[in-house]
Amino acid sequence: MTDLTNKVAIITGATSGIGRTCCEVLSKAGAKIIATGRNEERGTKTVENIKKSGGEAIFLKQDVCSEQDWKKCIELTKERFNGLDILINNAGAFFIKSIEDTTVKEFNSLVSTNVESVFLGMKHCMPVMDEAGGGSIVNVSSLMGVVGLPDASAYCASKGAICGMTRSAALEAAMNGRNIRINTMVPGVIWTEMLVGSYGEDDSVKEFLTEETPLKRLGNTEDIANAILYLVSEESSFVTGTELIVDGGRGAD
Amino acid sequence: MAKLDNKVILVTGAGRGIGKGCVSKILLEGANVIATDVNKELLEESQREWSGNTDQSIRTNILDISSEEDWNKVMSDIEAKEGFIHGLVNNAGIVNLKPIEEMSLEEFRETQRVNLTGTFIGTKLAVGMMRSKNNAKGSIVNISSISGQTGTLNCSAYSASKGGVRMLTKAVALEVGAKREFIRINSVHPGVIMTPMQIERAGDDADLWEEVRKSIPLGRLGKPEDVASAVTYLLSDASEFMTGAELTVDGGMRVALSGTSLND
Repeated sequence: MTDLTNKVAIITGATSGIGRTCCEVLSKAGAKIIATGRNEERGTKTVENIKKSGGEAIFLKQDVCSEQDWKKCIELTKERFNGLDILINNAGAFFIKSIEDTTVKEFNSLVSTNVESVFLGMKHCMPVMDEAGGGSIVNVSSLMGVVGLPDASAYCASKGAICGMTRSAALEAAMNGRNIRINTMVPGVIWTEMLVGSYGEDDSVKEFLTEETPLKRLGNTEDIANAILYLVSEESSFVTGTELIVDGGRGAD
Repeated sequence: MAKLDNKVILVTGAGRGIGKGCVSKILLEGANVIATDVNKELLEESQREWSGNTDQSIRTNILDISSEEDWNKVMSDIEAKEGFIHGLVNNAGIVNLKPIEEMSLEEFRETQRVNLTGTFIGTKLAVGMMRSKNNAKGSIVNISSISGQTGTLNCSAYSASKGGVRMLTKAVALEVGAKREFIRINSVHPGVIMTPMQIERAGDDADLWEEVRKSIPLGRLGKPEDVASAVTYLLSDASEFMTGAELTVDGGMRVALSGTSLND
């Protein structure tokens, strides 16, 4: 059984989907959770669920693109839990639009949400992890950061950027005895609020995506949270700079 | 609950190194194991260690993975005794590093015959057994290498074989998926892991290994346990949405260009 007792974890985008399940799975393994997100009501729900199951968690309203908010997040983490071991940069956004119809403003806004957020998270959390003697960071990209999807130029660019940035950061975080591991989590199609927001509850889309996936189902948030659990545990202590693809085999096609 | 409770797992190349580490970890996680190796003495010695440390069932079979006849015997034996397998770890392999002009065709073929063809036969028979005896369910883990993902010096035969294992894995993942079967197949890519095979290949000069250590971003050499943990995750139900994918366990070596100053 993977044990994260006494570990402290910040999870962004914790108000729904992969982020929320990740909070639950890491809490079950013993970690103390700082769940962050923009929607206070849903974030509070995430934390309440954890407390009901006997875990320890707090919610922090955070805009992951705001450096000020990251500073506040670090202050709160130190004050409440006295250190930091794990960071899951999960918050992200998605939209479908052809390249000609995408405005520069829309492009930049998505890159800011998906890439700057991860940059800021690593930048501000790594020094705190150094104080604790090391840590593990997981940056959540997407299969669309590795392959192409039409009408998703901004999303593919932003998720590809996460893969590249993680490789560089992983080397910095390991050099000269520094003991922080950084890996990219690459989910395939996980049917979450983010996708419902773009496609609606459309059964024909779901059926198409299911049929195109070798394992003949869509992913669920537990599939990704379990992979993240492996990446933050001692079991993966020799794993850094890598991309873990969990996509039901879709990317192998 | 342990991660592999009550599963039946077959491991090749289990006599030493990564394979031996896998068997120890898989037993610890609650599975029953059939451990195979081409070397009888190594296998017997390891078997004594495992038996003394576990309540799980652990038995051994001699297996030269490049022999289809050997494989058939092992699988018939499993059919008679356990009845089926939930998982297979195709770990056995050989390494022969030489500049291409010095590598004979026979040596090249030998590396492919063991590493690639051996993995092919094991995968083929395991898919067949999982299909007929385990409701077309199971998890196959093929041990490739970072040399199957990126270039390695003097490594033509080994890289070709390990790159082959990587793509064989993806091809079979699609094939079973197309039949709507739930047999998952993934590859693991270890970097420098301290094993008897590594020492046979490169010697035991402490200065050399210190140089290698420094070239690994995380500043340490890998252990068989590191690979065994990755294998366990892939065999377990925690990875049930993962197939045709790769898990690299290399301390960050693959993403750094050689010569990058990392650990002074």
